[in-house]
Amino acid sequence: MRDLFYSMVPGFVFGYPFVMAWYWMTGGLLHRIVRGWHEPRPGEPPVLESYPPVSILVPCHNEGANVREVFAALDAVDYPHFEMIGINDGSRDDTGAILDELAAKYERLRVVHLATNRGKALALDAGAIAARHEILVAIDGDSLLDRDAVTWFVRRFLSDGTLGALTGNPRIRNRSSLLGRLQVGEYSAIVGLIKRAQTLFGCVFTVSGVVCAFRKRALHDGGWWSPATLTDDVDMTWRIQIAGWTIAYEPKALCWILMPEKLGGLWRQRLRWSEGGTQTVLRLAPQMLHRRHWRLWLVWVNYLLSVLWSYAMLAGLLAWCLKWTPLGPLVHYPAFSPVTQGWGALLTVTYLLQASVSLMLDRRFEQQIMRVIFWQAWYPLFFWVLQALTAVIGVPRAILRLTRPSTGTWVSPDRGVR
Amino acid sequence: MKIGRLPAEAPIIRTAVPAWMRIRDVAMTFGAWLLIGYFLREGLYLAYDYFRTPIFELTTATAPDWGEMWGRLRGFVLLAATLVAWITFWALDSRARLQATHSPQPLPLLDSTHAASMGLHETQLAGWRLAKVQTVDINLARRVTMRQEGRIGNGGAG
Repeated sequence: MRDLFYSMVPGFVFGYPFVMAWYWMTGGLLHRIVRGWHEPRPGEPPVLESYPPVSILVPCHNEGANVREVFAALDAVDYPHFEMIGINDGSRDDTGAILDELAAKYERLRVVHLATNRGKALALDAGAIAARHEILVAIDGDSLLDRDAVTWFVRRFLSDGTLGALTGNPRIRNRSSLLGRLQVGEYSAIVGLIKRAQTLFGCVFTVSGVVCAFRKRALHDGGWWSPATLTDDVDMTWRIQIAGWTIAYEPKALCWILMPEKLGGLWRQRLRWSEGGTQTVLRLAPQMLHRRHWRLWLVWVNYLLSVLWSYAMLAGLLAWCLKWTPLGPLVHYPAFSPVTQGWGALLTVTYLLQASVSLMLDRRFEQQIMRVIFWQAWYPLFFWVLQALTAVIGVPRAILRLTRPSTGTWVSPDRGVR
Repeated sequence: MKIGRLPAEAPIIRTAVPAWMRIRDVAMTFGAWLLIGYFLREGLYLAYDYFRTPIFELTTATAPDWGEMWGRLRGFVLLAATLVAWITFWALDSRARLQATHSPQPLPLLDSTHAASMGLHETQLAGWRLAKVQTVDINLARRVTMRQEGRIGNGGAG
C-alpha cells in the first residue's frame, strides 16, 4: 500500500501537467486549423451581413486615472451602431466627475452612477438595465478595447445562434518589469491555449471578465451577474452554460489590459481567482446534476485535479524541506527536490514547448511576441509554485466563504509600473 | 467599414525603469536559463554528442536505458495520446459549427421580461434607457431604484 502511494503521488505530480500540456497544445493547434485557417487577418474584419446594435458596459471603481483613455479608445471603435455605458460604482476619487464630463463630450456615452459601492457584478447588472441593445460587450475600467473587437464579437454571434457568450483575447499592456513580461507569455501559453482547446470541446471554464460579450437573453437565463461570488466571470460562465447556451473564445477580439507588476499585487489577484473559481465550482455543482451537463462535469473534474495537483506538489516540496530537519522521520510522504531532475526536467522542456507553440499562434496579434520566450524560463521555476500556493490557500478560504455571504464590493488592484 | 487597413498600433506601456532594474531582470533570467540548462545537462550533452561528427552516433556519452525510460513513461504517453485523440475528435465534430458564417439567431430578451427580473415595470425601464446620466440604487437582490436623473454630488459618486 505504502509503495503504491509512493509511486502514485510522484506519478500524478509529473503526469497531470505533462499529459494536459499535450492536450492544450493539440487543442490550440487544431483550433488554428479548424477555426483560424481561412479566417481574415485580425486587422481586417470582413463586411458583415448585418450590424446589430451593441451596448458596451464599462464598470468603473476609482478609475479616475484611466477612464479618459478607456472611453477615447471606445469612441474609436470601428462599428456603425453602438452605445457606451460607463457605470460609476461609488468611486471615491474623481471618476464620477470625469464620466459626467465625458458624457457631455461623447454623444454615445451614457453614465449610470451607483449611489453606493456595490461591486463589479451589481455594477454590470445596473449597466445591463440601462443598455438598450441585445448584445452586450463588457470590459474593465482600465482596459482599452481594440477598434475591431466589437465587429469580431458580432460576427461570431451571427455565425452561431447557440452562443450565449464570447470571451475575447486580453493582451497585456504593461511590460516594464519581469513580472509583466512573464505574464505576457503566461496569457498566451496557458490562458490562450486552454480557451482554444475548451472551445473545440464545447465547454469553457471561464470568460475573461476583462473582455467578453453576451446575449442579454443568455444572461437572463443564467440569472444575471451575481454579487455572491468573488469571480463574477467564472460564475456567469458556468450559469450560462448550465442554462444550455454555449460559450466560445474569439481570439481576434483584442483588449489591452493592465496587470499587476508587483509580487504582492500578483499574489492578491491570483488568490482571488483561485478562491473565486473554487467557490463557483462548489456552489454550482448541485445544479449540474444532469447528464446533459456532462461536458461541464469534465471541465469541473479537470479543475479539481489541478487543485489536487497543487496540494500534492507543495506537500512533496514541504516533505523535502522537512527531510533535513529532526521532523524528517515523521514525514510519510514522497519528497520532491526543488532541484529538478529527470521527470522534472522533462516537464520543464514540455512547458517550454507549450509556450513556443502558443506564442507562435499569437504572432498574428503581435509580431514581436516570440521575444517573450526569453522570460518564460521563470514559469517552471517560480510561477508554478506561486500558482500552486494560491490554489492551496484559496480552497479553504472558498469553503469558509460558502457560509458567509459576499458584500460584492471591490478594491483597486495593482495596475503595474506606469 | 474600412477594409484592408493596417492594424492599430498596440498600446503597450514601456515605462523607463532604472537601468539597474533592467540589468537585474536580464541577469536573473540568464541565471534561470543556466539553471534549466544545468537540469537538462545530461540530455543536452547526449544530443550534442549524437549530432557532432561523427554524426548520428555517440562517441563519449553513454546512452540511457531507453527501454527502462519508455517503461516509466509509457502510461503517461498513452494517456496523452488518448486525450489528443479525444480533442481531435471534438475538433472534427465542431468543424461545421466553428466554420459557419451564418446561423438562425435566437429571439432577443423582451424588455418586459428584463424589467420584471429586476423588479421594475417596462415603462420605468424605457425611461431609464433615455437618461444620459442617472444615479441609481441597486441592492444585493438586484432590485433597482432610480435616485435621480444626473449625478448626486456626494463622495460616493465623486
